[in-house]
Amino acid sequence: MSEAIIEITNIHLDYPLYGLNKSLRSIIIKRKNTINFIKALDGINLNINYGDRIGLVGTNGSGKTTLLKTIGGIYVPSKGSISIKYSPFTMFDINMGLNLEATGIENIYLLSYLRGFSKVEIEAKINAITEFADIGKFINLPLNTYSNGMIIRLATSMALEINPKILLIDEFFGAGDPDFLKKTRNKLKEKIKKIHALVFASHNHELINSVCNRIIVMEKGKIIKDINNSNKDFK
Amino acid sequence: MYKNFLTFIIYGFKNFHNAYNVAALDLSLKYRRTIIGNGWSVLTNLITVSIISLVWAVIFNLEIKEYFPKVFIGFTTFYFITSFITGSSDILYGKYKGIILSLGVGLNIIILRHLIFLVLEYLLFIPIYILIILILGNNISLSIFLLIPGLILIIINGYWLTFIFSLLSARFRDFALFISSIMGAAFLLTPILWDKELLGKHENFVYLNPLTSMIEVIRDPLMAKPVNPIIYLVLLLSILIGFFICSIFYKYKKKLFNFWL
Repeated sequence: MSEAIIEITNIHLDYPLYGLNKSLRSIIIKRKNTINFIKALDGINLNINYGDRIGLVGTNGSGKTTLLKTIGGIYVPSKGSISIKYSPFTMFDINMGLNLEATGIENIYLLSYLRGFSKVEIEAKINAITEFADIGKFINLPLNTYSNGMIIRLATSMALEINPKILLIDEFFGAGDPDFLKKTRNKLKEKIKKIHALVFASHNHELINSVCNRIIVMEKGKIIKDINNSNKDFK
Repeated sequence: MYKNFLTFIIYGFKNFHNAYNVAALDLSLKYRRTIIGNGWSVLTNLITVSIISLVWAVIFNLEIKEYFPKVFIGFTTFYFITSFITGSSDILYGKYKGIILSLGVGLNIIILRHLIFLVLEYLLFIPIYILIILILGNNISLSIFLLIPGLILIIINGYWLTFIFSLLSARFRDFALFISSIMGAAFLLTPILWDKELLGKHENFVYLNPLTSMIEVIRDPLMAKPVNPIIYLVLLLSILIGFFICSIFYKYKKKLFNFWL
């Protein structure tokens, strides 16, 4: 099972900046922009194989999120190519897309429809989501009656109740009460065993170490280290 | 990334059912916790148009029986059409930015969701139009069925308008403000409050404004008036030109769309 599931070949991504110093005043005095793009990815070559659980680490601004979004098809690289065998599933900001006026159940439908699930598929998993969220009767109330912790519970439960082949995660965890966090981590680890490939960006090295068998260290848009973490000894 | 604009549209429509369900939920949430619910979208327009028509009918000595439905249909259809333009301005960089950049939801799904939402909201008016016409004792003829192709032509035009205006507004943040500022003038330049017959021999000049055709294609069948064939020509032409512009735009700028948000 060492066949590449994702092949990234020499990708560069120049993030364009629009509208900087474009006030009427700057146009009149013809002040030129000194920067019109940021080099977010700089010659990334990476083969992700079946069974790889990759931990992406690096300081803020090192390019982790941009690389994930590029693999996820959200950003198109300026140069280079990406070949992906299956459509990846993203977990970037779990609260995103939730509607505070809608009930918990309606939000499950809303986000699942947007993720491309059919009504039958949603109905099949709705009990599992509500059980995992464990928010009782609140599931039928609008989200604006929830505490922050309850919203996190619902959003996390929805995100975990999917079975993708490729999973991309960006700083997904770190919120919620300790018991729920523990339950979430266990569920995630269980899920990860079943998927073909995982790319997980996080600053939580302990979690990365426990989940990932390969660590990629990024800096200034480049991969500076590719470490085998089969022995789970990354610090 | 889709190969071309046609593939972009086709893949969007493959998820039509999901986009429809989300749009229907959006509509039910819009007026949640109000007593009248979706009836508000009809009622607010009804109140505004009633006042406008009453005042204008008295000032210009017009017959309210004909003037009121004419203005009501024109007014609501105008706002339906312009919502493809002004209402789409913030859908990509504001309203749905998060789900595009975080969930990876495609622009084709977002555009379809928005389009279906606008259409569903507008469809609430159709029975009201018929009811008003009947209550005021106006005729309804078989030409009312021409409403269906008319509506289809508007919706197809609505697709490309939503696509191009939502993206241009995301790229050029002054664009949306500029467009909304000229919409007030567009309202006055479109024969909604006034009759095109007032222009005499220059009557057909009103068709230089495509909004006229879009309104008449709905209003004339409802008001049992013969539909000017030039209207269908204008609408078909605008579909061809609009989709052609969108295909070129998609071809050259598709890689940059998500960076504009």
